[in-house]
Amino acid sequence: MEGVTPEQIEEMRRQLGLGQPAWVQSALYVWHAIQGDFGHTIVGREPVLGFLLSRLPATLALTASGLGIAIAIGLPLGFLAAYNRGRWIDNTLMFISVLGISMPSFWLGLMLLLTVPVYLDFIPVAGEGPASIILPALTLGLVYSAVIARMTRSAMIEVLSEDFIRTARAKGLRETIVMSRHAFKPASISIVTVIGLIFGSMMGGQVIVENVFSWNGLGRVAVLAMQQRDYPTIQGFIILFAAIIVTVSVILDMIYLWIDPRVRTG
Amino acid sequence: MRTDRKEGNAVVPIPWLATVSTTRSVAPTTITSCQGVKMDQYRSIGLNIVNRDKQNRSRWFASFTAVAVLTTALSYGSAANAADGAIIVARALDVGTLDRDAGPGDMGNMVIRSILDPLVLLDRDASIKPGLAESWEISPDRLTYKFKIRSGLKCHDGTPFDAEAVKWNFERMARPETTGVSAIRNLDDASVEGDVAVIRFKTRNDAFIRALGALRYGMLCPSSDKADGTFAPIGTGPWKFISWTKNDKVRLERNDDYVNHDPWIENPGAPHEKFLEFRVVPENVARIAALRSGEVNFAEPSYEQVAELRNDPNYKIWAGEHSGQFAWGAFTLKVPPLDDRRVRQAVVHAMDRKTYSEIAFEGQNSPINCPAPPNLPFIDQDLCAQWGQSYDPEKAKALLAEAGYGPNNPLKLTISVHQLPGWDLMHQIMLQNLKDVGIDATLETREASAFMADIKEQNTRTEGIPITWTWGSSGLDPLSPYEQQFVGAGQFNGGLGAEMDKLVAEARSLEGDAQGKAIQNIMQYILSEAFVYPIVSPGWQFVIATKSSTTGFVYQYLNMMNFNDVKL
Amino acid sequence: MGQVFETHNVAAHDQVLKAVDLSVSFQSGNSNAVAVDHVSFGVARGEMLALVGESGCGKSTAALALLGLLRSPPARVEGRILLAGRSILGLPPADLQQIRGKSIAMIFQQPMTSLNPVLTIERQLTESTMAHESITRSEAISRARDALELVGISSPETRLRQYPHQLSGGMRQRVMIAMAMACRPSVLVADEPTTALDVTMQAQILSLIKGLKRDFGVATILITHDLGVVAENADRVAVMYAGRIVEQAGTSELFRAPAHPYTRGLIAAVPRLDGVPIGSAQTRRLQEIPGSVPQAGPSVPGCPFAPRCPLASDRCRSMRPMEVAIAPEHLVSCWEYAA
Repeated sequence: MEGVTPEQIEEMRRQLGLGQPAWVQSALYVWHAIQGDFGHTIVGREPVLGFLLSRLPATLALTASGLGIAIAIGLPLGFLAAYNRGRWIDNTLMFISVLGISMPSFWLGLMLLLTVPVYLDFIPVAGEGPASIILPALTLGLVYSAVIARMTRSAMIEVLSEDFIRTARAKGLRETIVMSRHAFKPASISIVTVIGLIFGSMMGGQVIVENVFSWNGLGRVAVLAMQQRDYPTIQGFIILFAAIIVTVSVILDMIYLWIDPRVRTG
Repeated sequence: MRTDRKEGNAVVPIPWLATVSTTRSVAPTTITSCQGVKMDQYRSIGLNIVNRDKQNRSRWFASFTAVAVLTTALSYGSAANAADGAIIVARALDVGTLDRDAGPGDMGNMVIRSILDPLVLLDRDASIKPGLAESWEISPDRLTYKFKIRSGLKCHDGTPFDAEAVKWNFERMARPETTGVSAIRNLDDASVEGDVAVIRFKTRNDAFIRALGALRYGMLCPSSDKADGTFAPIGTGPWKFISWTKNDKVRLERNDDYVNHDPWIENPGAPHEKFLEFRVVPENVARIAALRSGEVNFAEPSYEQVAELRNDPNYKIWAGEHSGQFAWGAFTLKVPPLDDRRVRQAVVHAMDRKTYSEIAFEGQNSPINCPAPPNLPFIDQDLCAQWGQSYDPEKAKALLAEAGYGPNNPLKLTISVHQLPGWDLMHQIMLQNLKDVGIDATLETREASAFMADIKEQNTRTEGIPITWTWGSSGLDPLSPYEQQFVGAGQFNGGLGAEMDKLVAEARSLEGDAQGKAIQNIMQYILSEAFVYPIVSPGWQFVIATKSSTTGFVYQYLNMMNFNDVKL
Repeated sequence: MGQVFETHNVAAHDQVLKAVDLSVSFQSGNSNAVAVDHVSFGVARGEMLALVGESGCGKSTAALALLGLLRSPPARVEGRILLAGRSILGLPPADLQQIRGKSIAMIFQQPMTSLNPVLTIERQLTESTMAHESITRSEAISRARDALELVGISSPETRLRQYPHQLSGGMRQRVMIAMAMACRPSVLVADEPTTALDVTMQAQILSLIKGLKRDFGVATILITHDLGVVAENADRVAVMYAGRIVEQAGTSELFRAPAHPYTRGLIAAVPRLDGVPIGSAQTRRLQEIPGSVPQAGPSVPGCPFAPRCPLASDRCRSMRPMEVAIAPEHLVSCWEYAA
């Protein structure tokens, strides 16, 4: 706390534009942000955008892997539950998925941390090397696979009650084709919606998971920036996050176009 | 385990002189199992995927996750391990900066001091031993210090380290933007006389020589400041800086030319292990999990984890004994009834410091009686116990009654504190202690910077709810904490007044036993008046866990970690 | 439980599809709702049998049971279903799949929702043939083209590439029929195929079905509540009430001499334009049947129509009426005729 001179403080205030009215500061921020200048981090004095973008790949890789695992687990299980709706296998799966949904990701993360190194000591736990993506991705993936499983199940069951499914069966198609071609494609419209929402919430969930597993992505940046009151970084983080979510929803709309011909021409 | 892979993993030499990078660096590993055919594994995996599935993009996307996760899991499982003689230290926080003069804090200084050597070294008995300076002279007025620099000293980049470099260091530290250099506050100038560096002060500086041996004052090489304005720490120390990936790790490599002068260290030359890495693992559980799995060799445990690992023969807990840290409490003295000595004494009598240490810190530290860094000359815990207030709830109640407080008229008191591991629980127990003697106490916990601002404000009040507050100090000079906190206004406006200023100034002017006696007088005054109460020592970041097989680790003064003797 | 007679049908031996003593009940928890209650009927090659009844009488359920399309549980199907003399009830799913779409095809009431909205017409037309016959995709497409032409759709190439929402309702029903006819089935079950269509379209679709029956000799079961449709198209009629067939006869015989009180009521409720000038004094008032169709529930011991029947006696309420032939190929289940 010592050694900071009033001149330094004044210089800092001037740099940060703190002498100006709040609306001028906000307008300046927006003006600069439009030009891609989100200011400099308070800790380290780096350009915020470059700093955040350098962490983005790690976060996107983790989200993509987590989403991949969530889909890889959730989709088939939801499928299986829908196919066996009302039977014990459906009930069991849905019970497990309730556990999954109600399980906080940080708790699952800690449980994995406590157990995995004991039994599978070749899986890294402390964020070093590409293999260390396994545990955080699994944590995100397992939690969200429950959501996807439930959504897949209910979307499939809804579609399975449609007339065209009866038509498909009346044609003598095999049940697997009825499920995968006739039921899944329409159901995937709502599943894709959920996956889009999950992507957003997963990006949020990363903040916790990245800290638990020392994954050096945006989530770590966000937590540290908050601890250090690094406002430019936090602002930049929020804007970047929002931009990602908007991008994802645009991608989602394009996926709708691809899945649903009614959107295409309608 | 992966011992079979350890030998197989050769590491391509990395130019150790790298600028601080903020990108996630992937250490290139080579496959030596291919009979000498070296290939960049990571890139080849990527290329294979692209080539094979070029035609089928959707399949590529679908299989991306699986391939990425599984392939890398198989090929990199070992790379993540503490192979190649790398000491990997998992800590909760990253360094803020690696520039000694940009306010690195304790976390940063511990890393920086692995790279930089100091001019002088402190032995276990706090005596001063030669470091980069082979000898030194101190003028009797304590204004001029002359250091004869060893000849032939080489920086990590091959440039020489000499008296000119020392001069450069002090000039760099004297720049206005430098923080945390109270020991050279009144520096006049630095000059060179042959192989002697001369440091002059405007006013008498007694604490200087000891401070030089502490954590803060490692010597940089002038080549650390690049022509393009960037900075990377270059020194003469046992470890060379390779890279810093923000929020991830700082990687250092052994300085093979190192010659040791530190009396704490047995190893005469370069460190035993090849690499030293400080890795950021924010989650407590993850750090210890990484230690268990062998991914890291050193891990900061939480106090709960200390309790868990302590009884496990496979693990060792290292606790700093020469931390120079001590936790203490003080009062808003201007707010009645804390201007009444009996009330202050009663509060201190209510506190069960032994339990704080045993419960909140899992017995890893000790209660202290002196308001000073322990294990320094003249800091005599038995003497202090006579002057201060021991845990005695009955006496506390009696003193409170004497001051007019009792069950019908309880003393209202706020315990104002900041968050810190161990301390949070300690404050809970403290709250209970005060309630037990009939004090109507409440606990207010703030985050550190908010706490500092608040206490500064509270210490100017003369009315309202009285407050007792806690803080920690560290140093190797028993007078420094007083100068920082209780002389003049004090860091938190907690100055104890003219009497205190006079006592400390007197003690500063003395030397040897006479100074020791003066220091003891100060402590007697503070303790008997109960202006300040000592709590425990050490207080923060003083434990680290390793596997039992790890040897040679040394916690030096101020919990500086030395890895020169470490063998994994 | 009353006595049950098998259908004494002259053409019985020719019947391609025959349901004997067919029952369908739905179980949920402890309750058991009988939707189809021991019905027997059959349809011969080139013949159109109309299953007539009010909504909820079990006619659609019976049709779904014929194709094995009821999910079990909760549905429970009993009795016998004979396809060209072979019992197909209770066959393993794989065998049933071979029959569905190939031997027995079905078209549904709602052309709007009975086509998959996210698959092309081509896909939906070809998958049936490809599932049942070992033909290549291009062969299947050419068959699909032919099928579209057969049902009177012009520019089939364009249509094949389109999605259902790009077609009109009538066009969709034509596609449905083309789909059903793709494998040249011996039996076509048409469940209210025209209900959702406007009158012009109704006539076109029905004449299309009739044409297919005539040209390909398809045994057709037309499920409808519309007696006008029945009168113009069906060869024979089975009238269902509350899960039972109460009367079966040739179409002209039934309209000429309806025997069962329910059939009589139904016919009386239809507005007629047959020569009686509207507005003249002789215009008969439309009759309505008092009361309403009972909810599906446990099988009742007596005649289910008894509560609404003007002729009901105690016997009607306690015993199930036997099916008796009151004329050649004219069967009726009513105690009036049993005596």
